[in-house]
Amino acid sequence: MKRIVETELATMWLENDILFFVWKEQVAIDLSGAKKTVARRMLLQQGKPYRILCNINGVRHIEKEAWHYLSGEGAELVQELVLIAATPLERVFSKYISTRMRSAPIKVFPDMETARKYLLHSR
Amino acid sequence: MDSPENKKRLEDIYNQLVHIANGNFSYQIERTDKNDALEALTFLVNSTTEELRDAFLYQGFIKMPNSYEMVVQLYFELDGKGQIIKTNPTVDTLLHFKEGTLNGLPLSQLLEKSSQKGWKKLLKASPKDRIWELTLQLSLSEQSGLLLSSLFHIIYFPEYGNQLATFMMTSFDLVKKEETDQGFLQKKLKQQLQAHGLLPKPQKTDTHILRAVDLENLRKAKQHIMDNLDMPLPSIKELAHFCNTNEYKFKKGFKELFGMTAFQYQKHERLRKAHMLIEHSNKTILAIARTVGFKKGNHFAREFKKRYGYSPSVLRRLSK
Repeated sequence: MKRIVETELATMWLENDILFFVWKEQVAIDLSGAKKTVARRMLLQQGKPYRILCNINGVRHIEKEAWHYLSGEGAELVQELVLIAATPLERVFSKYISTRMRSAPIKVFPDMETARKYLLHSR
Repeated sequence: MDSPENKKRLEDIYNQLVHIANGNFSYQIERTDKNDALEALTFLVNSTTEELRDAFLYQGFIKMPNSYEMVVQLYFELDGKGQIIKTNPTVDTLLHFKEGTLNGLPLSQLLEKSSQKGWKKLLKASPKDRIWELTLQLSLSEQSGLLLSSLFHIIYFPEYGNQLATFMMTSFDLVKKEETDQGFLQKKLKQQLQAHGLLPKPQKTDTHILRAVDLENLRKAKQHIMDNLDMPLPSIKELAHFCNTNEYKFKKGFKELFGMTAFQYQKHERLRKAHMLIEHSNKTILAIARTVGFKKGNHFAREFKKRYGYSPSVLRRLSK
């Protein structure tokens, strides 16, 4: 029975040893929002690194300081980041994230299906 | 791509790129709810603008000659209801309105949607009988639709005798210095005043200027330290070599860019990471100390308390 955690900006849950992370619709992420979301994720992970499946479809804007935070401190305990990029905007966000995140490997997939397949097949 | 809306969005991107090509990084393109190719471009162009702006802001502050030194001030005077009474000429220039056309307009008409909300709230909720002031980030719409975002200082003067209530709003921006006659005269005047002791002379301190390639290398060094917190700090010699520079330049450059020495930065980051792990995980404090690079638990606890004012175990207790 998976427990779904809701925060102001995102929804997350653990399933099959993977952390599923979905940013909510039309979110604008500022530094304090990013910090709160990361803190909640830390609490969920309890010090254990996880592979994360992240859905960025709802993201509208990320403040510069929030970018810095999410790709540095905010990327702790991320074993691998799997992104779904279905729209041009998401593709660009994914490219942007890939160049900034230096602490974890990143894989980008065009839809949820291929992303899930990858995660289930490479445990 | 052919809808009038998309044509406008593409036009905005062109205009923004033209501004950037002219060394003007003050504007941002307004974002929409879409997630198509135009939106992707908009996001990238806005991010590029911000990066360039920050890079020149830094250079402006370390006094590179012929760079972005001039501080521009936007000034608005509004009546008690928030209508524009007067503005300084720079407002017309930066927002590309003809001189005088802004007078009589309510300020909210110039504001971008999300700023309008904040401004309307302020107008409604603020006290009308006494002076108050606050600082507020506002985004203004320039004539063609691009946004100019700035930190405004707002002062409210209540009605007093014959004087009606007014708002005074000012903001500053760093803009490319024009090498016009005016700039030349200003420089000459400044030199004259300094020679007569009426202006402080420039101090002959460091003429050390960080170039773009140095900035990049120093950031690489910082990232390397950040990625290897559990390892002992490489020697200054090694770090300088990593940055393709000499020890003196590395030490000076690192301190100037980050405000602390490489050693202090490593300690700073180690303690920050430890704080986060103590707060959010169940690992033992000793294990955390080792993870972040401290060999001895008591040394770690001492440094932790020095930095944060409370010991690691107190934090652990409070985080449960």
